[in-house]
Amino acid sequence: MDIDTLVRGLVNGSLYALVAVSFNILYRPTNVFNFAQGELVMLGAMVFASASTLMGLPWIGALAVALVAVGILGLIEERIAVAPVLAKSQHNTGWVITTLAVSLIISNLVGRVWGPDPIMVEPPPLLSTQTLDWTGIQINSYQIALIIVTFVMVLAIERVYRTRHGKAVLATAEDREAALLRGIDPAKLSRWSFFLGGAFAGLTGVLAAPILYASTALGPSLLLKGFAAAAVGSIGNNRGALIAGYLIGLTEAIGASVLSPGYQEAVIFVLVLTLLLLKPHGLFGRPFTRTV
Amino acid sequence: MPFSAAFDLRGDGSIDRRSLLRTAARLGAAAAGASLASPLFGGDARAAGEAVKIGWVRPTTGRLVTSFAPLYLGGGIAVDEINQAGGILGRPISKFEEDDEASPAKEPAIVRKLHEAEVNFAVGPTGSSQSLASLAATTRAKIIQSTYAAAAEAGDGKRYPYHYQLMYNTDQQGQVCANYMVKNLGIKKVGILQESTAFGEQATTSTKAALKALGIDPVSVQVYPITAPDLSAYVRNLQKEGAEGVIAWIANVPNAAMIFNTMKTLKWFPPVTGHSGLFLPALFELVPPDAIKNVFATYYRNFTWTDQQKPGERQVALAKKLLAIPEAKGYEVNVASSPYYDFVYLLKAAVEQAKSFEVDKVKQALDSTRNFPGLVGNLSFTPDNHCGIDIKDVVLASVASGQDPQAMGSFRERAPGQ
Repeated sequence: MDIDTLVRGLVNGSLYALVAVSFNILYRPTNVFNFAQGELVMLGAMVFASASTLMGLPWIGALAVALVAVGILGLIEERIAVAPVLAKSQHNTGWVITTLAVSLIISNLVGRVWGPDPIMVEPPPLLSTQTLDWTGIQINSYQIALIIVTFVMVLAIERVYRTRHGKAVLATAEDREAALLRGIDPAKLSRWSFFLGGAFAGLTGVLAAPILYASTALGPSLLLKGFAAAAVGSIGNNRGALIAGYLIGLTEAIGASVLSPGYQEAVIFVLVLTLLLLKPHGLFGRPFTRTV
Repeated sequence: MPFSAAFDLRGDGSIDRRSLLRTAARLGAAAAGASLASPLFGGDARAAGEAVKIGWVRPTTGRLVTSFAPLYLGGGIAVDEINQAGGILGRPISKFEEDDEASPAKEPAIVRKLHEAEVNFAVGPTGSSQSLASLAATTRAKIIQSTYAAAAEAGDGKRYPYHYQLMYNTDQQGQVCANYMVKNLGIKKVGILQESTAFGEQATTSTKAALKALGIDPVSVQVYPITAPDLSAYVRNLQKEGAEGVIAWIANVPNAAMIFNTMKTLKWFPPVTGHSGLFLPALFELVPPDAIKNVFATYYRNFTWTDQQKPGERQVALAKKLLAIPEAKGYEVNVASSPYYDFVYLLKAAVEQAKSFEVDKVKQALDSTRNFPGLVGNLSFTPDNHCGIDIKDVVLASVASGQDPQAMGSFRERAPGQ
């Protein structure tokens, strides 16, 4: 096994961690898994690619367009597909079907608008995807930046949860009815979370695009492993998601190098199943008890 | 004939009993004569001028709409050309559109619809899995059909007697690639890189058989999932295991771009041969030119050029038409290599030879077709062999030549020695 294997594992692990965090942002105040999250990631990449290549916007401008567009779509999804379901009953699981429907609609529309061809996305200024041989390690400046940005984003999200709004989200996650009694508006938090979760998914797509290209295939390639990272890192735990993302990315890369690339999917799922059998609440979760 | 004259009305307006019986007998005889005459002269005479329906099975919803739409453009052009020239035996063609959402599960229901609508001929569906699902049903329904299926079994006339394969299959592609690596380039250490799909499986099986026939086993076979975000490990393994040439069964551009960019990173540029999906110009946006200089893909000889040989007039005419169609932009190779243009013309020729639209007569005419001058090559069938393409018409062409002005979207430069 060479050092390059670890680099590949860290780069892919960063993307899995970001997808897992975007799941968590939505999940915390709503207890909803958004099955359209992969499509939101893909849409972020496609909107960014169009804004930067077709509209000619600078990198930062295209990023802003992508984040706002995908954030608004997340908000629309919440209004149309999630809020009406949760309004009937907080424990209604009809959102499984409705978010899946949103996923299918987005995927169909994106296919019609952008077509099947992938779009090349340039990294931000000062960074490059040209691989350098750095003391025997094949790496490029964009990959280094992606790993750093992932850490920064997760820490930033964690800081948000320390603010008053963030604590309200945590309180809602703990007990929605009790939070309501304390003057917190869970519906409003739900709307914000879908906007932010959508925007974060869009950001993940933008960050993934220079490596994986902006294409309709981007969502499915990240969704499953991102979901696995969220589960292994304990649902709702962002630091757990970060560590689990890297664990999955590294296991995938090392498995491919040491065993065979043909087994890399199997290796990941063996890892996930084993961890969840040993720790059903994920690496950082605790059994939840509630006295009534 | 006026009513009163027919029944010999009496002066008071009543009908004479004998006259009524006589007239009824006459009408009965006329009706019996007409019903007897119908099978003798066939439905064709009765239906002269009525449009002949061709089932047009393709996704109009779902995520593959935009990928598959260009593949039907050639068939649409053929229908327009034939209708402008007076149709088939004087009957215009009308497309009987059915949306299969590119889902194999939908195919049996679509065939049932075609059958209920008395559609005897069908274009599509596209995709090996979709086609094989459809063929199981169309065979029972006796619908003459051409699908976009590269699977070798789709050309088996015993198994699918009503299906006509007008495109090269995986066996032919495997053979052309193996011959090029071993005979033309003299490479003995051949690696196979395959996407994990039905197409990839079939193509690899065919390639291994073709290599075996040349006395060679592949040094490595790497199978990757099409959703994998990183394909570098597969490429590195090929390099590590000593592959000097790679036969790559890749049917989508993002995967191809990842693979060729990895080769660029590794500074490893072995000759690569593969599927015509590699010709899509979208690849040029994602991969630097030096990463694809040694990449060749299977194509039809008629759509390639060399220093001595240029594409034919009919092929150039189609290429020019495609350049004027916005939906074809970037997909000209897919349109040109799609079987549907040739199938519509082949069907016309068979109907005209049989002088009938009856399925069994048309099938008989198709089964006896020899050297029909299709755009992709000379098409021949027997009752048992329904793959109309001769392997001599299949060559390897340079992927990089797509950027040459001579390409006109549809043409590519033939690989040296082909």
